[in-house]
Amino acid sequence: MQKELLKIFRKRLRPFTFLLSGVGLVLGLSLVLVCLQLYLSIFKSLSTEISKAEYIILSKDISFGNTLLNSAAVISPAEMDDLKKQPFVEDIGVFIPNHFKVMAYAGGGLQLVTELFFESIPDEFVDNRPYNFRWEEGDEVLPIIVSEDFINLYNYGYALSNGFPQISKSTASLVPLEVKLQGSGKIVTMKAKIVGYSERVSSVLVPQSFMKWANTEIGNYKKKEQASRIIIKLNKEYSGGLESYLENKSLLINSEKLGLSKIGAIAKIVIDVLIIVGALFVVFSFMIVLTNFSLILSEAREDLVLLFQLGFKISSLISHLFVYLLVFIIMVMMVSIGVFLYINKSLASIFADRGIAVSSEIHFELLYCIVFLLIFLLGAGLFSISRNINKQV
Amino acid sequence: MIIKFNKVTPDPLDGVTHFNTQIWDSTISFDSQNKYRINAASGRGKSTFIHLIYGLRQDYKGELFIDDINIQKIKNDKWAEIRQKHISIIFQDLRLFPELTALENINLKHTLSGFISKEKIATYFDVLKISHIKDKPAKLLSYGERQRVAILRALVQPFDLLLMDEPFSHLDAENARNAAEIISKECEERKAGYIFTSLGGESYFEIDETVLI
Repeated sequence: MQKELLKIFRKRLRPFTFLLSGVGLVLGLSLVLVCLQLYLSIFKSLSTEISKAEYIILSKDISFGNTLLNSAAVISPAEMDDLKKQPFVEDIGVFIPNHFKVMAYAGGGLQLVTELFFESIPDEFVDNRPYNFRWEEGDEVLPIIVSEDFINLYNYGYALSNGFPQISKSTASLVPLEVKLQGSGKIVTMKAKIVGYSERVSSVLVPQSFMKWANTEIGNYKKKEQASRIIIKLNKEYSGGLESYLENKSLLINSEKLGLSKIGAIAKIVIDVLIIVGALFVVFSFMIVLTNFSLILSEAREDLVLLFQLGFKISSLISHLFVYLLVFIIMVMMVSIGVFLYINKSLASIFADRGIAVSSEIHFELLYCIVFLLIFLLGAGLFSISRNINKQV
Repeated sequence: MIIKFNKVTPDPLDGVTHFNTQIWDSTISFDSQNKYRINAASGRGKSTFIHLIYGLRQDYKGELFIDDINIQKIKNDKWAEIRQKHISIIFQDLRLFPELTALENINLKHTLSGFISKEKIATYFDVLKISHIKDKPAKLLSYGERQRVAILRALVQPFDLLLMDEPFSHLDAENARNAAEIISKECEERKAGYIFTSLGGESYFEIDETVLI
């Protein structure tokens, strides 16, 4: 930077106007960055929720008629075929219930007896499936996967009120269990063991091979299997249509995750509005900066003309004046990033205090945003400066 | 470098060139290797003539060529190059940056080419008797001091032709002689010629040709 040129233009720079428009720019830029960060955090945590919800469990809405006629609310084969054709469905698994009576006995001092039910689903739909969740005819121990909710219900509901000891997941799998299967005049007793816990399925799951064997050998149900509950693996790219479809077909979904995405959508709209406000701040403040620049240039008209007369190239005058803008923009951007980091940190602790899990980790997409903003601001600035100088000289 | 005037009449003189002139509305060429004196009373367009060659005015009729290129076709960047390397000028109204010091005014021009050494510049400050004011802003200098700064500024760059518009108007005889001496020396070193305008009187310069405007 040539110091004589600097001296010529320095007196024209208006520190107060630049300071004011700089403050406006910092406000706008940091607002945009903070909102984008929040947006991405919410969007990303939502999409993890939705990816957890890539499995949903459906059942038929149980009507009064079902109760009256003692008919099961089942999903008909035609309905199944139609479901398979839907774009949001990747795979469907049918829940097979037990058609025999199950009594479970807990040993090890618990002295717990309960009637129980089993369900099975195809292996690929079982989450957290341990290696030993297998059963072949002749095996003495029946592996069971129970819902995590059951352990919670037992620990915080049943155990507390009945004076039973609370048990952890790992001790629960050590409790010796015995099941008595009863049906078609047969009684089979076997050992059982909890081998895992499912977040996805609220049920007591046994391997499908066992269920098929038991329903045939012990069960009293000879009719063709009908689906009352099904589990669907959702196509990850599904875009809406799911909820309305389910409503039309009076199918019930057991997942709360879709409700969550509604809240997320509202939050997104709020953040969208804030981003627009921030962007408007940026645009208006930057227009003040550019107006200020063109004012400086028209005041410096004589200087510019004389410099040109002395042999300075217009392009070198443009690049000299552009350096002022560059320094200004970079300073503004650095302050904005500082403000953003501070707000992000404060927000993280506010969220943590309220128990909201929003990551304060900075998303790398912000870097694109910063680069884009820099290119936009500097590009528009360069255009405006060179247009103004060419007009003056 | 040949500068050719072909029936050029500046708009302000249009219709009033009844006086005897060798330049306006005539065909005349100037060779950059020669030394010209342009003589005239006020109001005959001396400064206009200088500014036309330097590319500062477009308001004229006729054609003006530098090396067979019509100057109206010369682009801004080319003018910048011509003014950096081929034609230097001492404006009648000096045109210094008032807030820059004498030395800064020189340096501003010097950075464009770095043509002569800083030591030589310092020597010329001495010769022109302006060393003591070199760190004073131009706006605080007397007209005579400013005129010497403007003369020195014109000499720190390379050129084929030096244009001088009444360069010694505010100098006493001794200062004018000193200035003329270093101007002649610098032109000699560059094998450059000059065109200077004068209201008449002593010229202090070697002259090949006197042209009446």
